[in-house]
Amino acid sequence: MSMPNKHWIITASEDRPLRDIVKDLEGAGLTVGEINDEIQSVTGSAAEEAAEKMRAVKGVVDVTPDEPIDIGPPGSDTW
Amino acid sequence: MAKKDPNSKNGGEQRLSAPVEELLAAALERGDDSLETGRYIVTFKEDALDSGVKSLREQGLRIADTRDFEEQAARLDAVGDADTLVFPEVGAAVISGGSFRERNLAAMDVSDESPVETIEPEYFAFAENDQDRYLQGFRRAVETIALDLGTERERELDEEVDPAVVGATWGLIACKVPPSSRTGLGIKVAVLDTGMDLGHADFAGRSFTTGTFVGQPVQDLHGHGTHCIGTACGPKAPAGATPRYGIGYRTLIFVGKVLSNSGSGSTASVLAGMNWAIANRCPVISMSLGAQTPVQAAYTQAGAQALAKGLLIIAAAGNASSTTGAPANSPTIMSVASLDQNLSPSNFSNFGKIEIAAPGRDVFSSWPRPTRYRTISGTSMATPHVAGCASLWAQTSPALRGAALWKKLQVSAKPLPFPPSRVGKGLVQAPA
Repeated sequence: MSMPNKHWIITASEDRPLRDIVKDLEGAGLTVGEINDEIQSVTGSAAEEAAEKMRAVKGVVDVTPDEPIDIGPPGSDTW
Repeated sequence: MAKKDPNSKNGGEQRLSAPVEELLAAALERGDDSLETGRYIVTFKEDALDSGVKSLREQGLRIADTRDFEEQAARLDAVGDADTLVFPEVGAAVISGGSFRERNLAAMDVSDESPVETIEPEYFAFAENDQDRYLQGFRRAVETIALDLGTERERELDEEVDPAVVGATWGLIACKVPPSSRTGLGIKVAVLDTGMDLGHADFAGRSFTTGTFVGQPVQDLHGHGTHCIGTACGPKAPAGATPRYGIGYRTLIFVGKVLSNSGSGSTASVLAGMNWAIANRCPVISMSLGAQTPVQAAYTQAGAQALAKGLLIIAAAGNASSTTGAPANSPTIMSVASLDQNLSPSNFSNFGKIEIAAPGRDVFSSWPRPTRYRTISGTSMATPHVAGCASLWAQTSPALRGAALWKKLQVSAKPLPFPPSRVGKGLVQAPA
Protein backbone atom coordinates (compact mmCIF):
# COMPACT_ATOMS: atom_id res chain seq x y z
CA MET A 1 0.00 0.00 0.00
CA SER A 2 1.49 3.30 -1.04
CA MET A 3 0.72 6.46 0.90
CA PRO A 4 -1.97 8.75 -0.56
CA ASN A 5 -0.38 11.41 -2.74
CA LYS A 6 -0.74 15.16 -2.39
CA HIS A 7 -0.44 17.76 -5.11
CA TRP A 8 2.57 20.04 -4.88
CA ILE A 9 3.84 23.28 -6.37
CA ILE A 10 7.62 23.41 -6.69
CA THR A 11 9.36 26.70 -7.49
CA ALA A 12 12.85 26.49 -8.95
CA SER A 13 15.67 29.01 -9.23
CA GLU A 14 17.30 29.90 -12.53
CA ASP A 15 20.73 28.88 -11.24
CA ARG A 16 20.28 25.34 -12.45
CA PRO A 17 18.65 23.97 -15.63
CA LEU A 18 15.02 23.14 -14.91
CA ARG A 19 15.25 19.73 -16.53
CA ASP A 20 18.04 18.71 -14.13
CA ILE A 21 15.96 19.87 -11.19
CA VAL A 22 12.97 17.92 -12.50
CA LYS A 23 15.10 14.79 -12.75
CA ASP A 24 16.12 15.12 -9.10
CA LEU A 25 12.53 15.87 -8.04
CA GLU A 26 11.45 12.61 -9.70
CA GLY A 27 14.22 10.88 -7.78
CA ALA A 28 12.77 12.38 -4.60
CA GLY A 29 9.38 10.81 -5.37
CA LEU A 30 7.55 13.39 -7.49
CA THR A 31 5.21 12.26 -10.25
CA VAL A 32 5.50 15.26 -12.55
CA GLY A 33 2.30 16.92 -13.71
CA GLU A 34 3.21 20.13 -15.52
CA ILE A 35 6.62 21.64 -16.16
CA ASN A 36 6.06 25.40 -16.45
CA ASP A 37 9.37 26.29 -18.04
CA GLU A 38 8.47 29.95 -18.63
CA ILE A 39 8.01 30.58 -14.92
CA GLN A 40 10.41 28.06 -13.38
CA SER A 41 7.80 25.99 -11.60
CA VAL A 42 6.80 22.34 -11.59
CA THR A 43 3.58 20.79 -10.39
CA GLY A 44 2.89 17.18 -9.57
CA SER A 45 2.00 14.67 -6.92
CA ALA A 46 4.01 12.97 -4.23
CA ALA A 47 3.61 11.54 -0.76
CA GLU A 48 3.81 13.95 2.19
CA GLU A 49 7.20 12.48 3.17
CA ALA A 50 8.67 13.44 -0.20
CA ALA A 51 8.28 17.18 0.52
CA GLU A 52 11.43 17.39 2.63
CA LYS A 53 13.46 15.45 0.05
CA MET A 54 12.19 17.76 -2.69
CA ARG A 55 13.12 20.84 -0.65
CA ALA A 56 16.65 19.46 -0.41
CA VAL A 57 17.03 19.26 -4.19
CA LYS A 58 19.61 21.75 -5.44
CA GLY A 59 17.91 24.69 -7.15
CA VAL A 60 14.55 24.23 -5.42
CA VAL A 61 13.37 27.50 -3.86
CA ASP A 62 10.01 26.44 -2.49
CA VAL A 63 7.77 23.39 -2.13
CA THR A 64 4.20 24.05 -1.14
CA PRO A 65 0.90 22.14 -1.34
CA ASP A 66 -1.44 23.01 -4.22
CA GLU A 67 -4.23 25.28 -2.94
CA PRO A 68 -7.81 25.43 -4.18
CA ILE A 69 -8.98 28.68 -5.76
CA ASP A 70 -12.67 29.40 -5.84
CA ILE A 71 -14.32 32.53 -7.19
CA GLY A 72 -17.74 31.28 -6.21
CA PRO A 73 -20.58 29.67 -8.13
CA PRO A 74 -22.49 31.35 -10.97
CA GLY A 75 -25.09 33.65 -9.45
CA SER A 76 -22.91 35.29 -6.81
CA ASP A 77 -23.08 39.06 -6.64
CA THR A 78 -19.51 39.80 -5.61
CA TRP A 79 -16.45 38.28 -7.23
CA MET B 1 -32.90 28.04 -12.56
CA ALA B 2 -32.96 29.05 -16.21
CA LYS B 3 -35.67 27.71 -18.46
CA LYS B 4 -35.62 29.57 -21.71
CA ASP B 5 -38.71 29.25 -23.84
CA PRO B 6 -37.70 26.04 -25.52
CA ASN B 7 -40.66 26.13 -27.90
CA SER B 8 -39.46 29.18 -29.76
CA LYS B 9 -38.82 29.34 -33.46
CA ASN B 10 -37.73 25.82 -34.17
CA GLY B 11 -39.74 24.39 -36.97
CA GLY B 12 -37.21 21.92 -38.38
CA GLU B 13 -37.02 18.27 -37.41
CA GLN B 14 -33.24 18.01 -37.34
CA ARG B 15 -31.59 14.76 -36.42
CA LEU B 16 -28.99 14.99 -33.66
CA SER B 17 -26.39 13.90 -36.20
CA ALA B 18 -27.38 16.61 -38.71
CA PRO B 19 -24.28 18.45 -39.88
CA VAL B 20 -23.88 22.07 -38.82
CA GLU B 21 -24.43 23.29 -42.36
CA GLU B 22 -27.80 21.55 -42.49
CA LEU B 23 -28.80 23.20 -39.21
CA LEU B 24 -27.65 26.60 -40.50
CA ALA B 25 -29.56 26.16 -43.73
CA ALA B 26 -32.70 25.25 -41.75
CA ALA B 27 -32.22 28.32 -39.54
CA LEU B 28 -31.95 30.54 -42.62
CA GLU B 29 -35.01 28.93 -44.12
CA ARG B 30 -37.12 29.80 -41.13
CA GLY B 31 -35.81 33.38 -41.22
CA ASP B 32 -34.48 32.90 -37.72
CA ASP B 33 -31.89 35.38 -36.53
CA SER B 34 -31.82 33.97 -33.00
CA LEU B 35 -28.77 31.80 -33.82
CA GLU B 36 -30.59 28.81 -32.35
CA THR B 37 -29.62 25.50 -33.94
CA GLY B 38 -32.94 23.80 -33.28
CA ARG B 39 -31.32 21.39 -30.80
CA TYR B 40 -31.49 21.73 -27.04
CA ILE B 41 -28.95 21.65 -24.25
CA VAL B 42 -29.78 20.18 -20.89
CA THR B 43 -27.35 20.79 -18.04
CA PHE B 44 -27.23 18.71 -14.88
CA LYS B 45 -26.70 19.84 -11.33
CA GLU B 46 -23.27 19.19 -9.86
CA ASP B 47 -22.74 15.49 -9.07
CA ALA B 48 -26.12 14.68 -10.62
CA LEU B 49 -24.81 13.44 -13.98
CA ASP B 50 -25.81 9.80 -13.53
CA SER B 51 -29.30 10.51 -12.23
CA GLY B 52 -29.71 13.16 -14.93
CA VAL B 53 -28.81 10.71 -17.69
CA LYS B 54 -31.15 8.19 -16.10
CA SER B 55 -34.01 10.68 -16.15
CA LEU B 56 -33.41 11.34 -19.87
CA ARG B 57 -33.37 7.61 -20.56
CA GLU B 58 -36.68 7.29 -18.72
CA GLN B 59 -38.10 9.83 -21.18
CA GLY B 60 -37.33 7.30 -23.91
CA LEU B 61 -34.32 9.08 -25.38
CA ARG B 62 -31.63 7.06 -27.14
CA ILE B 63 -28.40 8.17 -25.49
CA ALA B 64 -24.79 8.26 -26.71
CA ASP B 65 -21.93 9.21 -24.40
CA THR B 66 -18.74 11.06 -25.37
CA ARG B 67 -16.88 8.53 -23.23
CA ASP B 68 -17.62 6.04 -26.02
CA PHE B 69 -15.31 8.02 -28.31
CA GLU B 70 -11.54 8.08 -28.37
CA GLU B 71 -10.29 10.79 -25.97
CA GLN B 72 -13.92 11.87 -25.62
CA ALA B 73 -13.68 13.60 -28.98
CA ALA B 74 -17.28 12.91 -29.91
CA ARG B 75 -18.50 13.69 -33.39
CA LEU B 76 -22.18 14.44 -33.69
CA ASP B 77 -22.22 12.93 -37.17
CA ALA B 78 -21.13 9.61 -35.70
CA VAL B 79 -23.80 9.08 -33.05
CA GLY B 80 -25.95 6.92 -35.33
CA ASP B 81 -29.61 6.89 -34.42
CA ALA B 82 -29.07 8.32 -30.92
CA ASP B 83 -31.04 11.49 -30.28
CA THR B 84 -29.07 12.56 -27.22
CA LEU B 85 -25.32 12.98 -26.69
CA VAL B 86 -24.02 13.26 -23.13
CA PHE B 87 -20.88 15.28 -22.27
CA PRO B 88 -19.89 13.97 -18.82
CA GLU B 89 -17.00 16.44 -18.41
CA VAL B 90 -19.27 19.45 -18.63
CA GLY B 91 -22.33 17.85 -17.07
CA ALA B 92 -24.55 18.47 -20.08
CA ALA B 93 -26.36 16.76 -22.94
CA VAL B 94 -27.50 17.87 -26.39
CA ILE B 95 -30.89 16.60 -27.60
CA SER B 96 -32.32 16.67 -31.13
CA GLY B 97 -35.15 19.16 -31.66
CA GLY B 98 -37.57 16.51 -32.92
CA SER B 99 -37.19 14.20 -29.93
CA PHE B 100 -37.25 17.20 -27.60
CA ARG B 101 -40.66 18.32 -28.82
CA GLU B 102 -42.04 14.79 -29.31
CA ARG B 103 -41.48 14.06 -25.63
CA ASN B 104 -42.40 17.56 -24.47
CA LEU B 105 -39.10 17.87 -22.62
CA ALA B 106 -39.65 21.61 -22.22
CA ALA B 107 -41.96 20.58 -19.37
CA MET B 108 -39.19 18.60 -17.66
CA ASP B 109 -38.79 19.15 -13.94
CA VAL B 110 -36.06 21.67 -13.06
CA SER B 111 -36.99 22.01 -9.39
CA ASP B 112 -34.41 21.72 -6.63
CA GLU B 113 -35.10 17.98 -6.42
CA SER B 114 -34.50 17.36 -10.12
CA PRO B 115 -31.01 16.43 -11.38
CA VAL B 116 -31.66 18.83 -14.28
CA GLU B 117 -30.31 22.36 -13.82
CA THR B 118 -31.28 24.11 -17.07
CA ILE B 119 -32.98 23.43 -20.40
CA GLU B 120 -32.03 25.84 -23.16
CA PRO B 121 -31.86 26.08 -26.93
CA GLU B 122 -28.45 25.35 -28.43
CA TYR B 123 -26.85 28.23 -30.31
CA PHE B 124 -24.47 28.37 -33.21
CA ALA B 125 -20.97 29.34 -32.18
CA PHE B 126 -18.80 31.37 -34.51
CA ALA B 127 -15.21 32.10 -33.67
CA GLU B 128 -12.08 33.29 -35.35
CA ASN B 129 -9.72 30.48 -34.49
CA ASP B 130 -8.30 27.92 -36.85
CA GLN B 131 -10.67 25.12 -36.03
CA ASP B 132 -13.60 27.25 -37.09
CA ARG B 133 -12.22 28.49 -40.38
CA TYR B 134 -14.38 25.90 -42.09
CA LEU B 135 -17.49 27.16 -40.34
CA GLN B 136 -16.66 30.76 -41.21
CA GLY B 137 -16.20 29.80 -44.82
CA PHE B 138 -19.54 28.11 -44.69
CA ARG B 139 -21.17 31.11 -43.06
CA ARG B 140 -19.91 33.31 -45.86
CA ALA B 141 -21.25 30.82 -48.37
CA VAL B 142 -24.63 30.84 -46.67
CA GLU B 143 -24.68 34.64 -46.73
CA THR B 144 -23.92 34.60 -50.44
CA ILE B 145 -26.69 32.12 -51.10
CA ALA B 146 -29.05 34.15 -48.96
CA LEU B 147 -28.22 37.27 -50.97
CA ASP B 148 -28.94 35.37 -54.18
CA LEU B 149 -32.26 34.21 -52.82
CA GLY B 150 -33.07 37.74 -51.66
CA THR B 151 -33.57 36.58 -48.09
CA GLU B 152 -30.69 38.54 -46.62
CA ARG B 153 -31.90 40.77 -43.86
CA GLU B 154 -30.67 44.30 -43.63
CA ARG B 155 -27.08 44.36 -42.55
CA GLU B 156 -26.19 46.28 -39.47
CA LEU B 157 -24.42 49.48 -40.25
CA ASP B 158 -20.66 49.19 -39.99
CA GLU B 159 -20.26 52.84 -39.08
CA GLU B 160 -18.76 53.49 -35.72
CA VAL B 161 -21.25 54.94 -33.31
CA ASP B 162 -20.19 57.86 -31.16
CA PRO B 163 -20.06 56.48 -27.60
CA ALA B 164 -21.10 59.89 -26.31
CA VAL B 165 -24.42 59.29 -28.03
CA VAL B 166 -25.14 55.73 -26.90
CA GLY B 167 -23.20 56.18 -23.67
CA ALA B 168 -20.61 54.17 -21.83
CA THR B 169 -20.53 52.44 -18.45
CA TRP B 170 -19.70 54.55 -15.40
CA GLY B 171 -16.44 52.66 -15.09
CA LEU B 172 -15.23 53.49 -18.58
CA ILE B 173 -16.18 57.14 -18.12
CA ALA B 174 -14.33 57.29 -14.76
CA CYS B 175 -11.23 55.82 -16.44
CA LYS B 176 -11.50 58.36 -19.32
CA VAL B 177 -11.75 55.55 -21.87
CA PRO B 178 -14.36 57.03 -24.27
CA PRO B 179 -12.27 60.13 -25.18
CA SER B 180 -9.08 58.06 -25.61
CA SER B 181 -7.80 57.76 -29.18
CA ARG B 182 -6.24 54.39 -28.36
CA THR B 183 -7.77 51.02 -29.19
CA GLY B 184 -5.29 48.42 -27.95
CA LEU B 185 -4.60 47.57 -31.60
CA GLY B 186 -2.53 44.40 -31.84
CA ILE B 187 -1.79 44.16 -28.11
CA LYS B 188 -2.16 40.60 -26.81
CA VAL B 189 -4.27 40.56 -23.64
CA ALA B 190 -4.52 37.28 -21.73
CA VAL B 191 -7.44 36.82 -19.36
CA LEU B 192 -7.00 33.80 -17.08
CA ASP B 193 -10.47 32.92 -15.83
CA THR B 194 -13.49 30.65 -16.53
CA GLY B 195 -13.12 30.95 -20.33
CA MET B 196 -15.21 32.92 -22.79
CA ASP B 197 -18.51 32.70 -24.66
CA LEU B 198 -16.71 32.43 -27.99
CA GLY B 199 -19.93 32.98 -29.92
CA HIS B 200 -21.05 36.18 -28.16
CA ALA B 201 -22.34 38.52 -30.86
CA ASP B 202 -20.37 41.49 -29.50
CA PHE B 203 -17.14 39.62 -30.29
CA ALA B 204 -17.98 38.54 -33.84
CA GLY B 205 -14.89 38.87 -35.98
CA ARG B 206 -12.48 39.14 -33.01
CA SER B 207 -9.40 37.00 -32.77
CA PHE B 208 -9.39 34.46 -29.95
CA THR B 209 -6.42 32.34 -28.98
CA THR B 210 -7.47 29.81 -26.41
CA GLY B 211 -6.00 27.40 -23.89
CA THR B 212 -7.66 25.27 -21.25
CA PHE B 213 -5.98 24.05 -18.08
CA VAL B 214 -8.94 22.50 -16.27
CA GLY B 215 -9.92 19.69 -18.65
CA GLN B 216 -13.03 21.50 -19.90
CA PRO B 217 -13.69 23.28 -23.19
CA VAL B 218 -12.85 27.01 -23.19
CA GLN B 219 -16.50 27.90 -23.81
CA ASP B 220 -17.57 29.71 -20.63
CA LEU B 221 -20.53 28.10 -18.88
CA HIS B 222 -19.92 30.16 -15.73
CA GLY B 223 -19.95 33.78 -16.89
CA HIS B 224 -17.14 35.35 -14.87
CA GLY B 225 -14.54 35.01 -17.65
CA THR B 226 -16.87 36.41 -20.32
CA HIS B 227 -17.58 39.40 -18.07
CA CYS B 228 -13.90 40.13 -17.43
CA ILE B 229 -12.96 39.79 -21.11
CA GLY B 230 -15.87 42.10 -21.94
CA THR B 231 -14.43 44.88 -19.79
CA ALA B 232 -10.80 44.47 -20.88
CA CYS B 233 -11.36 43.77 -24.58
CA GLY B 234 -15.04 44.35 -25.45
CA PRO B 235 -16.37 46.30 -28.44
CA LYS B 236 -16.36 50.05 -28.97
CA ALA B 237 -19.96 50.10 -30.08
CA PRO B 238 -22.09 47.10 -29.11
CA ALA B 239 -25.30 46.61 -31.06
CA GLY B 240 -28.44 48.57 -30.27
CA ALA B 241 -28.77 50.69 -27.16
CA THR B 242 -26.12 48.76 -25.21
CA PRO B 243 -23.61 51.22 -23.73
CA ARG B 244 -19.91 50.83 -24.42
CA TYR B 245 -18.44 48.56 -21.74
CA GLY B 246 -15.19 47.33 -23.35
CA ILE B 247 -11.82 49.06 -23.33
CA GLY B 248 -9.21 47.50 -25.67
CA TYR B 249 -11.57 46.84 -28.54
CA ARG B 250 -8.81 46.04 -31.05
CA THR B 251 -6.71 43.87 -28.76
CA LEU B 252 -5.88 40.25 -29.53
CA ILE B 253 -7.75 38.19 -26.96
CA PHE B 254 -6.02 35.26 -25.25
CA VAL B 255 -8.51 33.18 -23.30
CA GLY B 256 -6.87 30.94 -20.69
CA LYS B 257 -9.38 28.76 -18.90
CA VAL B 258 -7.82 28.15 -15.47
CA LEU B 259 -11.08 27.96 -13.52
CA SER B 260 -13.77 25.41 -14.22
CA ASN B 261 -17.38 26.13 -15.10
CA SER B 262 -18.18 25.92 -11.40
CA GLY B 263 -15.65 28.73 -10.75
CA SER B 264 -12.98 26.65 -9.09
CA GLY B 265 -9.40 25.70 -9.80
CA SER B 266 -6.10 25.43 -8.00
CA THR B 267 -2.68 27.03 -7.93
CA ALA B 268 -1.50 24.37 -10.40
CA SER B 269 -4.09 25.22 -13.07
CA VAL B 270 -3.49 28.94 -12.58
CA LEU B 271 0.30 28.51 -12.93
CA ALA B 272 -0.19 26.45 -16.09
CA GLY B 273 -2.26 29.31 -17.51
CA MET B 274 0.32 31.92 -16.52
CA ASN B 275 3.02 29.83 -18.17
CA TRP B 276 0.91 29.72 -21.35
CA ALA B 277 0.24 33.47 -21.36
CA ILE B 278 3.94 34.20 -20.84
CA ALA B 279 4.96 31.68 -23.52
CA ASN B 280 2.61 33.56 -25.85
CA ARG B 281 4.30 36.85 -24.87
CA CYS B 282 1.10 38.63 -23.86
CA PRO B 283 2.15 42.11 -22.61
CA VAL B 284 -0.97 42.28 -20.44
CA ILE B 285 -2.09 39.31 -18.30
CA SER B 286 -5.28 39.81 -16.29
CA MET B 287 -6.14 37.56 -13.36
CA SER B 288 -9.45 38.13 -11.58
CA LEU B 289 -8.90 35.32 -9.13
CA GLY B 290 -7.20 34.51 -5.89
CA ALA B 291 -7.20 32.94 -2.47
CA GLN B 292 -6.73 34.42 1.01
CA THR B 293 -3.29 32.88 1.47
CA PRO B 294 0.10 34.41 2.25
CA VAL B 295 2.51 35.27 -0.56
CA GLN B 296 3.24 32.21 -2.68
CA ALA B 297 6.73 31.81 -4.08
CA ALA B 298 5.48 30.30 -7.33
CA TYR B 299 3.37 33.38 -8.13
CA THR B 300 6.18 35.75 -7.19
CA GLN B 301 8.53 33.82 -9.47
CA ALA B 302 5.97 33.85 -12.30
CA GLY B 303 5.51 37.62 -11.90
CA ALA B 304 9.28 38.14 -11.98
CA GLN B 305 9.64 36.01 -15.11
CA ALA B 306 6.84 37.98 -16.75
CA LEU B 307 8.45 41.35 -15.93
CA ALA B 308 11.83 40.08 -17.16
CA LYS B 309 10.18 39.32 -20.50
CA GLY B 310 8.42 42.69 -20.68
CA LEU B 311 5.00 41.38 -19.63
CA LEU B 312 2.75 42.65 -16.83
CA ILE B 313 0.53 40.52 -14.60
CA ILE B 314 -2.41 42.35 -13.05
CA ALA B 315 -4.46 40.62 -10.34
CA ALA B 316 -7.50 41.24 -8.14
CA ALA B 317 -6.74 42.14 -4.51
CA GLY B 318 -9.71 40.06 -3.35
CA ASN B 319 -13.13 40.68 -1.81
CA ALA B 320 -12.65 39.53 1.77
CA SER B 321 -12.51 43.01 3.36
CA SER B 322 -9.14 41.76 4.55
CA THR B 323 -5.48 41.84 3.54
CA THR B 324 -4.63 41.32 -0.12
CA GLY B 325 -4.75 37.65 -1.17
CA ALA B 326 -2.54 35.64 -3.53
CA PRO B 327 -1.47 36.09 -6.29
CA ALA B 328 -2.01 39.89 -5.97
CA ASN B 329 0.07 39.97 -2.77
CA SER B 330 3.22 38.96 -4.65
CA PRO B 331 5.58 41.93 -5.09
CA THR B 332 5.99 41.19 -8.80
CA ILE B 333 2.24 41.25 -9.51
CA MET B 334 0.15 44.42 -9.74
CA SER B 335 -2.68 44.42 -7.19
CA VAL B 336 -6.04 46.09 -7.97
CA ALA B 337 -8.59 47.41 -5.46
CA SER B 338 -12.26 48.11 -6.23
CA LEU B 339 -13.97 51.52 -6.24
CA ASP B 340 -17.63 52.43 -5.95
CA GLN B 341 -19.20 54.94 -8.31
CA ASN B 342 -18.46 57.78 -5.84
CA LEU B 343 -14.76 56.82 -6.20
CA SER B 344 -14.41 55.57 -2.64
CA PRO B 345 -13.06 52.07 -1.95
CA SER B 346 -15.73 49.34 -2.07
CA ASN B 347 -16.48 47.88 1.35
CA PHE B 348 -15.55 44.35 0.19
CA SER B 349 -12.24 45.40 -1.37
CA ASN B 350 -9.09 43.97 0.24
CA PHE B 351 -6.37 46.32 1.46
CA GLY B 352 -2.67 46.40 2.29
CA LYS B 353 -0.62 45.69 -0.81
CA ILE B 354 -2.53 47.73 -3.40
CA GLU B 355 -0.93 49.30 -6.49
CA ILE B 356 -3.92 50.88 -8.17
CA ALA B 357 -7.72 51.09 -8.01
CA ALA B 358 -10.47 50.77 -10.62
CA PRO B 359 -14.26 50.63 -10.92
CA GLY B 360 -15.51 47.38 -9.38
CA ARG B 361 -19.00 48.12 -8.09
CA ASP B 362 -22.02 47.49 -10.36
CA VAL B 363 -19.98 46.81 -13.47
CA PHE B 364 -21.96 46.16 -16.66
CA SER B 365 -20.32 43.79 -19.16
CA SER B 366 -20.86 40.79 -21.39
CA TRP B 367 -22.26 37.48 -20.15
CA PRO B 368 -22.66 34.15 -21.95
CA ARG B 369 -25.70 33.81 -24.19
CA PRO B 370 -28.60 33.83 -23.89
CA THR B 371 -28.23 36.29 -20.97
CA ARG B 372 -25.71 38.42 -22.95
CA TYR B 373 -25.12 41.13 -20.29
CA ARG B 374 -24.89 41.33 -16.51
CA THR B 375 -24.04 43.89 -13.86
CA ILE B 376 -21.89 42.51 -11.04
CA SER B 377 -19.33 43.72 -8.48
CA GLY B 378 -15.90 42.77 -7.18
CA THR B 379 -12.17 43.37 -7.45
CA SER B 380 -12.56 40.81 -10.27
CA MET B 381 -14.38 43.52 -12.21
CA ALA B 382 -11.86 46.23 -11.29
CA THR B 383 -8.91 44.19 -12.58
CA PRO B 384 -9.93 44.09 -16.28
CA HIS B 385 -10.43 47.89 -16.18
CA VAL B 386 -6.71 48.13 -15.38
CA ALA B 387 -5.83 45.44 -17.96
CA GLY B 388 -7.84 47.24 -20.64
CA CYS B 389 -6.21 50.60 -19.88
CA ALA B 390 -2.82 48.85 -19.84
CA SER B 391 -3.48 47.63 -23.39
CA LEU B 392 -4.19 51.23 -24.48
CA TRP B 393 -0.98 52.48 -22.84
CA ALA B 394 1.01 49.58 -24.34
CA GLN B 395 -0.20 50.68 -27.78
CA THR B 396 1.22 54.19 -27.27
CA SER B 397 4.82 52.97 -27.15
CA PRO B 398 6.65 49.66 -27.53
CA ALA B 399 8.80 50.84 -24.60
CA LEU B 400 5.82 50.67 -22.26
CA ARG B 401 6.11 47.02 -21.32
CA GLY B 402 6.58 45.12 -18.07
CA ALA B 403 7.85 47.31 -15.21
CA ALA B 404 7.66 50.47 -17.37
CA LEU B 405 3.97 49.80 -18.06
CA TRP B 406 3.38 49.17 -14.35
CA LYS B 407 4.98 52.53 -13.54
CA LYS B 408 3.10 54.37 -16.30
CA LEU B 409 -0.25 53.08 -15.01
CA GLN B 410 0.65 54.33 -11.54
CA VAL B 411 1.99 57.78 -12.45
CA SER B 412 -0.94 58.47 -14.75
CA ALA B 413 -3.54 57.34 -12.18
CA LYS B 414 -5.91 59.93 -10.73
CA PRO B 415 -5.00 60.51 -7.04
CA LEU B 416 -7.81 59.81 -4.59
CA PRO B 417 -8.23 61.09 -0.98
CA PHE B 418 -7.68 57.63 0.54
CA PRO B 419 -4.61 55.87 1.94
CA PRO B 420 -2.40 53.96 -0.53
CA SER B 421 -3.25 50.77 1.38
CA ARG B 422 -6.84 51.16 0.08
CA VAL B 423 -6.40 52.63 -3.43
CA GLY B 424 -2.67 52.48 -4.26
CA LYS B 425 -1.75 55.39 -6.55
CA GLY B 426 -5.42 56.01 -7.32
CA LEU B 427 -7.92 55.50 -10.14
CA VAL B 428 -6.50 54.01 -13.36
CA GLN B 429 -6.72 56.34 -16.38
CA ALA B 430 -6.61 55.69 -20.11
CA PRO B 431 -4.11 57.62 -22.27
CA ALA B 432 -5.45 60.60 -24.22
